[in-house]
Amino acid sequence: MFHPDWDAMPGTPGSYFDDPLHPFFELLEDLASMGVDLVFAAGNCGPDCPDGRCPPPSIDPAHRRIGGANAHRDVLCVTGVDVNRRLAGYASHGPGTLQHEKPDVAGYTHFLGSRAFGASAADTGTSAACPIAAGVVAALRSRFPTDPASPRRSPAAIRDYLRQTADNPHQRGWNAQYGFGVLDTSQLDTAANVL
Amino acid sequence: MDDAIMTIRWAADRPPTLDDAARELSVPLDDLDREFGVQLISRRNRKYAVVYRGEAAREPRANPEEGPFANPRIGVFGLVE
Repeated sequence: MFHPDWDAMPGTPGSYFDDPLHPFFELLEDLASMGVDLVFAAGNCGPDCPDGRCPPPSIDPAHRRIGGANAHRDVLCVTGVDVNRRLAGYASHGPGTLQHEKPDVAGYTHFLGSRAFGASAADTGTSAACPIAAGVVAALRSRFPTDPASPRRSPAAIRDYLRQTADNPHQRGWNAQYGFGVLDTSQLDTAANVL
Repeated sequence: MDDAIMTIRWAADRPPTLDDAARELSVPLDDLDREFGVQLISRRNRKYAVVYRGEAAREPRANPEEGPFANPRIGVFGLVE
């Protein structure tokens, strides 16, 4: 979801995320402190986005960054890959404006899911990958519920675990396209060792 | 007219009303969005938000914690089919 008015104040340069005091960030931090897992889509303004509302990178490279609450440190930022693990061309690239290493992970998108746009229309966008990641988080939480007394069960620990077990098809560690890699649910049986 | 988010800290045991927020912020009650009301932002910091639609929506306040902050509208974006 986006609107061109996501600026610092109407008519002023910059965006709301340039203001560290913006209450939206405080809301996110408050939710995280209560043990809420926050999962955001990376956005669909990547270099190959065909949408005319995205200015060419040569004109406005900053507009295509992961620039918003999805780059907040308390958020799991999810980009999208197809079922062949190719990055969706429209997916926004990192780094994040608030925290450098965004996106965190990639989830699957471009699959027949809701059929909301027709019987053969795939669900697309990092917005489709985001609930896939949220489902993985929910599966972990069904076994490892939030425990305010245990840092091992914190939202940050869940994010760290998903980053560490993600499968990066190109290199170890983080990169601006895939983050730490594609969510790897085959690793979930190792979660009990760390959560 | 511009609108903006403003915030207050509220120490009392009961949640603040829109009247309370208007008094805390020293703004006319009619300049606050009744439909938005008063929304809890932070339990830890006992902070609440209101939407202000007055003439001072772009004027910095003495206490920067009060705002004014951008109130981004939300719309559809991306690959709409």
